[in-house]
Amino acid sequence: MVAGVSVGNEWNAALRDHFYHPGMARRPVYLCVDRAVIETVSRAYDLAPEGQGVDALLSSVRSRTAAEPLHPWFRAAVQWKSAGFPGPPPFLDMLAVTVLAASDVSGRIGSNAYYQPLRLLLGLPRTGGMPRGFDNDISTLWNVLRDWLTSQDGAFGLPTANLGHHFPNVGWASSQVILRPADRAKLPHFFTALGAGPGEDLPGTVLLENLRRAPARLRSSFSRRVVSILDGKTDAMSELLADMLHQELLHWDGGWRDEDDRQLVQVLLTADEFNGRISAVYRVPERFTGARIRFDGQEEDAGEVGEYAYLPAPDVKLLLGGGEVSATRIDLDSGKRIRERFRLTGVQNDVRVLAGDDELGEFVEGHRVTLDLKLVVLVREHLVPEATCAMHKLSGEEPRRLQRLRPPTGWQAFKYRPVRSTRLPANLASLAPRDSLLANFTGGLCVDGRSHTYLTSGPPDLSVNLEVLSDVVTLNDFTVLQPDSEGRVRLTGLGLAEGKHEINAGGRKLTLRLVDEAADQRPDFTYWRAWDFRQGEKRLRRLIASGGGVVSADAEHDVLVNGASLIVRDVERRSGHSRPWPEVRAGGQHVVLGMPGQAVSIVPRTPLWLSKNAPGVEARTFDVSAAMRDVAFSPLWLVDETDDRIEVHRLPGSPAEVSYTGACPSKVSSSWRSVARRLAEAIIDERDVHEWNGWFAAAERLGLIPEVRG
Amino acid sequence: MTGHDLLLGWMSERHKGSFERFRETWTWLFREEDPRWWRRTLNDLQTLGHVEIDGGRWETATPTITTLPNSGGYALLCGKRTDRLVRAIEGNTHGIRLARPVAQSAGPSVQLIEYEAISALASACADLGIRFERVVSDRLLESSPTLNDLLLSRKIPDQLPGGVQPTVLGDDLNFHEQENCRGTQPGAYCVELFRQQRYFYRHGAPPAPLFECGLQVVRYAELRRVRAGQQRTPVKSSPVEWDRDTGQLRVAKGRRLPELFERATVLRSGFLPTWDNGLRRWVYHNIDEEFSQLLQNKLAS
Repeated sequence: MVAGVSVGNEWNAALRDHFYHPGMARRPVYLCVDRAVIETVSRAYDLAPEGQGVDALLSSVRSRTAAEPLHPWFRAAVQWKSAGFPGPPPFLDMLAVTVLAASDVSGRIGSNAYYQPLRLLLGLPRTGGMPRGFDNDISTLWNVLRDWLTSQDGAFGLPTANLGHHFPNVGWASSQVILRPADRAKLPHFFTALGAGPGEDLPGTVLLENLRRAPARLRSSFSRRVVSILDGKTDAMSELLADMLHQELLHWDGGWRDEDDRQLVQVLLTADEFNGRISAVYRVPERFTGARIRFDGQEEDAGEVGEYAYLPAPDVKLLLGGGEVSATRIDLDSGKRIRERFRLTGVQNDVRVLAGDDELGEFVEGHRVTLDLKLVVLVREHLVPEATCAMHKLSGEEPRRLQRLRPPTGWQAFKYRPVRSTRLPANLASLAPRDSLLANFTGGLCVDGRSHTYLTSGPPDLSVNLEVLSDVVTLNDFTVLQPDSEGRVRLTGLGLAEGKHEINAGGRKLTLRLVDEAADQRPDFTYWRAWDFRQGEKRLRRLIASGGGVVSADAEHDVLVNGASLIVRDVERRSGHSRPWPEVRAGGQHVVLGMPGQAVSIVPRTPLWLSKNAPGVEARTFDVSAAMRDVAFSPLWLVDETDDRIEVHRLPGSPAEVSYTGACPSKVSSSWRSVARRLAEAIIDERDVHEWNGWFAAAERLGLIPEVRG
Repeated sequence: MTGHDLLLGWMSERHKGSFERFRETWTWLFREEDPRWWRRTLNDLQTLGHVEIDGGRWETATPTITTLPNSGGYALLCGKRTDRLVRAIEGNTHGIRLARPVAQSAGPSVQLIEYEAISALASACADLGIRFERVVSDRLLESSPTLNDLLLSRKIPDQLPGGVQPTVLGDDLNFHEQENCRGTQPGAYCVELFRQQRYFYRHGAPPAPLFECGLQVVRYAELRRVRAGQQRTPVKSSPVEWDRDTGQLRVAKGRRLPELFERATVLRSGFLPTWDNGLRRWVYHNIDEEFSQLLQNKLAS
């Protein structure tokens, strides 16, 4: 216990437990005090009779004020710090009173507006401006609080009090009450709409400017205090709000909470178009692991973390109207039934957009609307004319009214597919695909999205929102980039080299890395299609095709295909591939021989398909089978003749045994005369020597070979 | 370098990914095109042997060099095509050379390979870690199941999945919305879940089985059923035409061949089918009579 402050220590402990507790670990924490909060704390910790909490706190504080009113708390704070922060901060009661003064002035700021109510709360004469020593003492109290929170490594929250530049001394208290819990609960909606991710370090001024330009529905959901700051030109309050927005996004974990700081579970509507049923699901959060959930007396397992779970018998009308569902989580850990009430909440919107979901096999809310996506839309009746007109504009055709899907009274269901993007009024904006309000990369040949790594041959486009862009866009700190009328900058044409590049667009710093190569040297090729043949027949047993799974290349199947790779086991042997046609060089002379005396020259030509599809690509060899079409006799041999070499190839399909008993032809062609002279020196595959010798002997017998062999 | 070459290069460097990422990249590369064509491009890349698709994901395929029939001395490079691989082929010591890439309008450039002898080609592939195939087109078709077998392999319970109303294949071979359709009549159906289209064919009313196959398998099955119903006899005539003079195989609009057959057919040349405006037909190249006959048998049985 620190000397001199024991009187207020009940309040200090209660305020610490209420505001600075392990539930706030690593999150910005605010001593956001108003009269209602003080009553709540008083009631919870039994500090004063019902309705007298504020008076009790003030009485406790007033009893200890001195000539320099805050000095006792100053001394206590210094001692507490040097003692290593034992117990609760001994000055939280005084800080609470200074914040209460800021809360009472309700948005007005300035020394005069603040000190008068503060003096009243402290029991000092109304006039006189700043209490004596206030400037020094108050900054010490907030700084010691910051030191304590920091020394605990954020286990009880992260400090947020900020003096600001415009109103010395007053900023500390004001910074705690600008955003009320209800406002903070709205921030995830704003961050999501903005396209900002959890933990992103965006300048507060950028966030503030975007909040000012947010759709009216979102903007007006904030408290009057915040809206008046957004509407007004008060630099001091704007600066504080900007700083808080920055802190909130920086420490946002991506979850949604209510104004009492309880985690919310988002409920999503689903539409089973087939059976005409509208239901609701939620994604099972991690803290539901192994738990059971009770809805209206019905208890069931929570399901797998991360997967959809259906709400039993949901009140669709309530959910469409933005209502919430209460449920109880029953944790069965260590054999105890620990109960926790929680709320499932959905979005409040007169237009609800659902996309077909692969996982659920139904249309479900929560998917980002993009081009070419079939959507089911539930619209409040009063908005139907405007909504159908907007859908027509986006899809180019009249949206189809879904007769089978029957939403509750006052709503209608439609189906449409946007093929273009356009700006719509705020109340219909959810129908249209839209880009993030923040500067962002789009497209590009991205090889790693998380690290913004792209191929050098395909850097992305930079997309900026021209409406909120307040500064020039720079590349690597010196090149100024000029967005086009749609807010796009094509980085492709800039010839960016491999390496890191930094872009500054409206306060948002974006880094991209360009690489020439990213491929793994030894990747696995896992998508093999497979099928089997049964009992030696070409009868399919199983085919694993698209969508049906994959098998590895060493799986036991008769046929495996991956791209142009084909593995056929035992089948090719059965299918008895015939002898392939020879391929011969395009140069030289080519003669086809039939029975002795039959010969025709063939002229190799570039295959028709090749010359048609690949002009300029000349054949280097030619496929004999294609040239055989014009030969008038049964071809037996092909002669491939150059100046220094003559080869003979046996042609497929020629009979194994040929009877050469015919008479000598009365006339032979010039092709025969030309080739016959060199046939004796022809080179032949050793497998065909026997047949060739038989053929050649017959030709000799008939006197068709001009010179004696060899 | 064409947009399709950049796309294949990107896929090769990335190796695998989701349809969603592919669609985003496609839309960025081909911003002037109808955004619905991304899926056609992905299918074409599979047909060309560059990628394999499974569910909502894709993966580049094994780099492969296959010989072609009636090729004029060229082989074809398929599958993953990284710059590193291209450089390795350029530096080989087996006498194989990269021909000048031949651009095609709907897919990446056709990369032909010049070779002196098949044995040298096979050795080069072994050295470079590339798979070598002899005339994979003909072997693939020969090993392929028939159309009936493709259907039978994908028999599913007799109800369409999920709570999304199916669209129905019409006479124009496109799928159309039909009020209160439950997919219980004989016909072909499409169910779209997020970005994934699933196709179904029903030969008879329940309890007759339902089959889930690729788009073109379903179309060809339905074509056959409708024509058989009109003729009251099994269909004998073929929906594909072969032209002896040009070595072309031709099919009417909406009748691109079922994927596995189309892959075999396209790997005869390395070129995707081209649309002939005069003939009003899709044209496949470098097809001989034997191949055409076998293909027609597979489609008819």
